[in-house]
Amino acid sequence: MTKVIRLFFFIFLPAAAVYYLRSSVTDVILVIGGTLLVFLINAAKEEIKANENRLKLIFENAKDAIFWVGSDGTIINCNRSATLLLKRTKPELVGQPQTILYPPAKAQHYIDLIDEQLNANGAFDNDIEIISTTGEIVPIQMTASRTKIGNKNITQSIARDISERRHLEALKDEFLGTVSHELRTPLTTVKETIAQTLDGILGPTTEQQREFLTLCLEDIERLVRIINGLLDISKIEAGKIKMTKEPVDMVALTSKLAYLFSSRAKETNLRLITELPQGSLEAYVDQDRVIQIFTNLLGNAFKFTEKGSITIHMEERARWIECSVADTGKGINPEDLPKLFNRFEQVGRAQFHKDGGTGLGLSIAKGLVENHGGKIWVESKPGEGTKFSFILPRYERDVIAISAISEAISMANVMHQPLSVFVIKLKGLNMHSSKDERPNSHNLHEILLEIENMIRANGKFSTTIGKEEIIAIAPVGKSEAAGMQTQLRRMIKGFIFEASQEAQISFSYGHASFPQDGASGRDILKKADENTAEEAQVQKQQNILVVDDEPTLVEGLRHWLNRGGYKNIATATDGQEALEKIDQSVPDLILLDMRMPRMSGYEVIGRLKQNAKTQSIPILIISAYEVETEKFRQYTTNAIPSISKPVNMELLQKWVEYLL
Amino acid sequence: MAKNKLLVIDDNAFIGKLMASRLTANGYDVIIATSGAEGLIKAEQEKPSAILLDFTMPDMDGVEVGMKLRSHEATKNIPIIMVTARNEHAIVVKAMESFNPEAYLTKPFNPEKLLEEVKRVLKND
Repeated sequence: MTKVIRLFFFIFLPAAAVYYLRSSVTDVILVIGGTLLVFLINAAKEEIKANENRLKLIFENAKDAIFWVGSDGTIINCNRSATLLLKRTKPELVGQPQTILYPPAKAQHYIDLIDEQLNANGAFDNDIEIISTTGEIVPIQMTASRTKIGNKNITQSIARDISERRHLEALKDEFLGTVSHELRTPLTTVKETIAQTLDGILGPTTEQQREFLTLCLEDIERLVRIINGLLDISKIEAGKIKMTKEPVDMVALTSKLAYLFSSRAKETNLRLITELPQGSLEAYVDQDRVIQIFTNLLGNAFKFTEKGSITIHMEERARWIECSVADTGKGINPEDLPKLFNRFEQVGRAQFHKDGGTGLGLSIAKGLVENHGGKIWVESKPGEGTKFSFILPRYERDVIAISAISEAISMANVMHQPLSVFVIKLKGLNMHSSKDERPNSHNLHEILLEIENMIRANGKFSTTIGKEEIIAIAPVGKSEAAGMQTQLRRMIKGFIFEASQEAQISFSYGHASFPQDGASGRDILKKADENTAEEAQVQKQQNILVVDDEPTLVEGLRHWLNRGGYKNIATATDGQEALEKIDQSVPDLILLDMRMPRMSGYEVIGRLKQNAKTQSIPILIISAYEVETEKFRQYTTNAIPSISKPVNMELLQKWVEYLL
Repeated sequence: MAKNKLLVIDDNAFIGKLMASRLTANGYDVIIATSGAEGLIKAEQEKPSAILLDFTMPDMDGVEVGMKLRSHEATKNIPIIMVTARNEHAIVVKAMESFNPEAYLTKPFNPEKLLEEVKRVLKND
């Protein structure tokens, strides 16, 4: 400011003096105007400079790392925190392409992702990774936006180191897991002790003891519910709740719920009405969690309704299924509505303890709905009743499969790798339904999950699960796809072999490779579907050789195999003949008796294992005597399965299916 | 092999006792072991009709105990009921692959389920 004042005095006054002497008014005005102009321009310049300095201060001193990237992808500017985060100096960063910021394998993927989101939403906000000069990969939360500096278009990104947040999340997970177990175990023993005392198992009890213990049991059960609720809500809020999503028929599920609540309706004299669409309506949800949502809402409806009815309504929307639970109860005050989904808020209850609620039901319901990607809301008028509505995502097989495959393809593009996608479809025949949730229960979806786990444990595949199918993806090209498919086939057959006491499972499989079979998720899925072969059919084409010196047994087996659909059966009645036949045409499976004239089964095995062409043909020994495994151990380390005579046909069937 | 003798292997002695008293009240004889090692010894000595094996013991991995039981001549035919507090498929699949238990129970256990599973496993034997 003083500079301006100085300018004012040094220019204005002398100028004024000069012009004053000539005493022309316009001249004086001109001089005054001119000086004011200079004054204003300088003031403006000072303002701009001050602003620039302020912004520079914010930019430089910000705790988060800030980067400016030009439209050509080079880094134009960065702040001090950025240099600290990346462990590089500013000159090392400015002028470099932005790819140096990210781990090489993911750099292009991140850059594309940022572009995509900025184009779509105008903003980017995601957790990604950055790499420092020491090669250390740091997790960051990055927000980016497009802006103009001067006349240049730039992308400004702000990155925050979230390593500590990640660490805390991991600790919280561990804590929740431990607490869950540590809290539940003592509760179980207390509860069971009380239950056994009440049942008389621990000796006679008095009337008064039974009365108190019964109340005690109720309190323990309440405690268990609260703990479960707290753990649930913590997991839900951390977004860490594990949900097994699958296609679920919502109509069937709701009907089942209505049936479960019908007795409660009868007790409380309320009408339970269901308004459901015809047929079935499939949602992609975690069935148990959806039941939990409905149970919470229905429980509340029953608690707050004295007379009238409770209505469960469901309808189809474009991508969602909209469900609602409405009651004719006392309604909720408008001031209380916003608080409704908060934890522990128990609205409008004088008798807080009487109905044993935990105050968590609605927050849990909200968390669960939102974890499915849906929304929940409430409408209510005091005296007129309350209606809770929520939406859940619909199931479309292709959407899920295609998005999983598309994601894999985009990663494959980044890594310059080929991809093979395997689609395995399962069908259960003769499945017994079972009420218990034991993992090897006779439920097709449970089996799908187990097989998926098994495939994932193998380490070579990433997996996604659908209604009756598993999609396994491996980073191999078309040439290796067949081999991988054989591996998958073996794994699944092994599993089915074990499970087949309880159920008959048939499966079909197909595969397609990227980029040879298609460029998009949709194309690949279509190709894999086209290539699908039924395992059962493939098997029936295989060649089986039956070797046994008893002709009646040989014929019996051939007849039986034919009936089972295996058409290509060859037979031999001794070892020599068997080897000759194998030489002519290599079978896919050999059923072999051990005690035969001229050449015993052991010798046959020995010969086969020593010949590269025949060493991997699967063999099933059919023997009346104990198989002396040492006799062929020198030829092969793999166990050779055997079944004893008289032959159990079902067992034989299982083995044949497995070995082919 | 006595028809209704059961072996419970669980490092929590109280749980062992509770399971024992529940099962005894339903007509079974029960022996308790509080470690994998003790469990193996008692299994060989007492030759129970079925074994309830806990999977949350710190000193010995339940899978290991299961595999050892299957590999010893004296115990290889005794049906095993796997009791796990963790409802994870991973450990169950691991157990299935290594020693294939005959039945599964999850803690906190439901007394009716317990009796049901024991009855079922003994019937199949």
